[in-house]
Amino acid sequence: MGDFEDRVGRALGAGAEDAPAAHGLADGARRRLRARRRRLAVAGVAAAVVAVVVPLAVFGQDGGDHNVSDPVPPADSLEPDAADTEVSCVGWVSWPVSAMVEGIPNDVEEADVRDAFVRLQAAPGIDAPRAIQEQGGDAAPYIVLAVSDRVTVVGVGEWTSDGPRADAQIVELKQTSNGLKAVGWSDCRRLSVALPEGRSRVEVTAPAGGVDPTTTSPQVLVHEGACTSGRDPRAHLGEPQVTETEGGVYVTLSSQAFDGAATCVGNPRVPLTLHLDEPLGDRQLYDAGTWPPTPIRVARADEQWQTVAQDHARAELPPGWHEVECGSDGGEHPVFGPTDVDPCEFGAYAAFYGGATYDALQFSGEVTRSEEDGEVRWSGYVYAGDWVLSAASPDRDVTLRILASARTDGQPVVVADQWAAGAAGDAEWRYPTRWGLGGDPDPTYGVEVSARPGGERVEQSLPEQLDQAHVRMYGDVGTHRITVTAPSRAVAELVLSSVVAGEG
Amino acid sequence: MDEVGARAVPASFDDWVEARGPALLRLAYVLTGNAADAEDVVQDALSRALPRWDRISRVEDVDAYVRRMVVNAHTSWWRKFRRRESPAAEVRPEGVVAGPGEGLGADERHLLWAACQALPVDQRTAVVLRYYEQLEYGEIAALTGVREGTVRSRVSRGIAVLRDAMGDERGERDG
Repeated sequence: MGDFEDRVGRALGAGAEDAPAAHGLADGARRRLRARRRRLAVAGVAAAVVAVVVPLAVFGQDGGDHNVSDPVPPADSLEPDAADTEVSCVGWVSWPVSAMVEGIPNDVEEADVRDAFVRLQAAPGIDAPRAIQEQGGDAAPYIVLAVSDRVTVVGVGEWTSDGPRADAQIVELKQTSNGLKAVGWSDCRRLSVALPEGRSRVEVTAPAGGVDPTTTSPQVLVHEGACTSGRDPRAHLGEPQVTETEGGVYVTLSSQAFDGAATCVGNPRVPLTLHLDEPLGDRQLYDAGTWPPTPIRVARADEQWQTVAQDHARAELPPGWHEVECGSDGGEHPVFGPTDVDPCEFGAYAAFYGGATYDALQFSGEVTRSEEDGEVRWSGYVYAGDWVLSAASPDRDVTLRILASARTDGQPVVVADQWAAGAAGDAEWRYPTRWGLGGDPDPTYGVEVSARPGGERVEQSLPEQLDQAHVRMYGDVGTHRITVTAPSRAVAELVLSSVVAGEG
Repeated sequence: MDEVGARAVPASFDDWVEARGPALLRLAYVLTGNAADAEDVVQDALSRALPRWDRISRVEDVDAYVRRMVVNAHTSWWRKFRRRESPAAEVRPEGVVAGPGEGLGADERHLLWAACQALPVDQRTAVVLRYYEQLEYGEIAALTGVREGTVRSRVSRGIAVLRDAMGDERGERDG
C-alpha cells in the first residue's frame, strides 16, 4: 500500500472513532423489525382498500355508502423491501410498488390529466380504457406511476400493490402544445421487476414433478421470454439472485439481452441448478422476476418418488404407489402400483424379476405402446444387476422415469423427468436431460456413432461397467454402431433402444 | 480500523451484536459520514438479519455476511436519498502541513475525511472497504456484487480524486 493510501486509511480510521456508541443496537433492530411488520400489514390492508378509498378521497365523488369489503391480509410474498421494488409492464420506464398504492409525488396538474382523459374518452370511444369509458374521464380514479422527461405514466382504474385490477390500465400521457395528450394505453397485466438496461427477463419454472425440497441444489427450468432466435440461454444467464426468508425463497434471473435482430421462435426451456443456504423444506419457491412473485411448484413429501429395493437392485416409484402381492405360477410375487387400479392387472405396475429366468418378448430398454379395451399402456423392462425391473403405466413419461431409475446399490440415482433429443448424421436418439443427474452435464456420458464393423450384427452388447457411475453398451443400428456411455445399465439400454437410423 | 471478519461468532443475535455492533457502526459511520445515518444503516441491516438469524448464524463467515448487509443498506439508503445529499463540491487543502514524524496532521485527516465523503457512493464504498476495512479487491468484488476489475477501477478513480483534492502529485500505486 502506498503512502497516500496509507494516509487515507488512517484518516478514515481516525474519523471512525467519532462513530456513535453502540448501545441498544439489538433492541433497536427488534423495534425496527416490529415497525416494519406493522407497516407491511397496513400496506397490505391499504392495498386492498385503497382502490375504493382513494378515488373518493381524491376526487370527491360520492360520500355516502362505500361498500368496503373486508381487507385482504398482506400477501406472504410481500417482503420488507417490496414497497421499494421497481416494477414495469412497458420496459422503458418503471415505478416502485408503493406507487401502485398511492402514486408517486408529482406536480402533474389533475386538471391537465382529466382533460387528456376526456379527450381520450371522446376520440377512440369503445377502445378507450374501461375505467374511463365507464366512469368518465373527469371521474375515473387514477394514480401517477412514473414521470419522465417526455411521458407521464398514470394508472387508471383500481390498482393495488399487486398491480392493476380487472378494469385498470396504464395510460401514457405526453406533453403537447395543447396540453397533455394520451399517446398509448395498455392493460399492464404482466408486471415484471425492472431490470438494468441490457438485461432480459428469464422465467423460472418447476421441472416435472416439482422442485426438490430436500436438497440445497434443487433444479429448476429457465426460459427466456424475449425473442432470441431460440438460442440456448445458458451461455447468457447472469447469476441467479436468491433471497431466502423464513417463508419463501425468491429467485430472480436475467440474461444478456439479445444483440441484433432476433427471430421469435420458441425458446428452449433448460435446467438450471440453484444453490441455497438450506433445502427448501416447507418454504415456497418463487420466480421473483414477476410482480407479484410467481410461486414455483415444489414437490411435497406426499409427491416424492419413493425408493424400492430388491436385494441390491433399486428403483424409484411414483408417490402413492404401494406394494401388493400378485399370484403367479402358483406363488405370490410383490408388485408395486397405484392405489386406484389393481397392480395385479399389470396396467400400471413395477416389479422386480430374476434376470436369469426373465422371458422377454422384446429387447431391454424398449418401451412399447399397447392398447386394450381403450386403455393405453406403455411398458418395458431394464436390467439392474441380477434383476430385471419391469414396469408399465398409461403415461410413457412415468414408465420411462421408473425404468431409468433402475440401478444397483451405490450407482447414481437417475431422475429422468425430462428427455432430450440427440442426433448425429441420420441417427437420432433420446436421453435423459443431463443424464438424469442434474447439475452440470458430465461430459463422459454420451452417445457415439461410428460405422458398423464387419461381422455379425450386434443388437445389444453386454454392459461394460467402467466404474460405479459409468456403464458402456453398444448396438448396431442400420449401418451404424451406436455406443452409449451412461450412469447405469438401465439408462444405457433405454438410450440404445431409442436409436433410429437409416440404412444408407 | 476493525477487522470485522476475524473474530469468533457468538451464537445468539444479542451476543453477536454486542460484540460486533461497534465495528459495524464504525464501518457505517465511515461509509455514511454522520452518526444518524450510520445508526440508521446498521439498524436497518440488523433488523433484516434478525428474522433470519438462525440461518445467518450458521453461515461460514457471519461477520462478512452482516457487513455485506450493512454495505447494501448503505448503498440502498444512499440511492433513496441521493437527491437530498449535497456532498462538498470541493476540498481546499491550503494551509495543511503534516507534522514532523507524524505525517498526518489533524487538518489533513479532516480534509481527507471530507474529500472521501464527497466521493460518489460507489467509489467511496470501494475506497472505504479497501483502505479502512483493508479487504482484498476480490473480497470487495464479492461483497459489492461487481467484478474485481470494476472494484479496482473505482478504488483507482477514488484515490485519484482524493489525490487531486489534497494536491498530492505522487503517483504511488497500491497493488
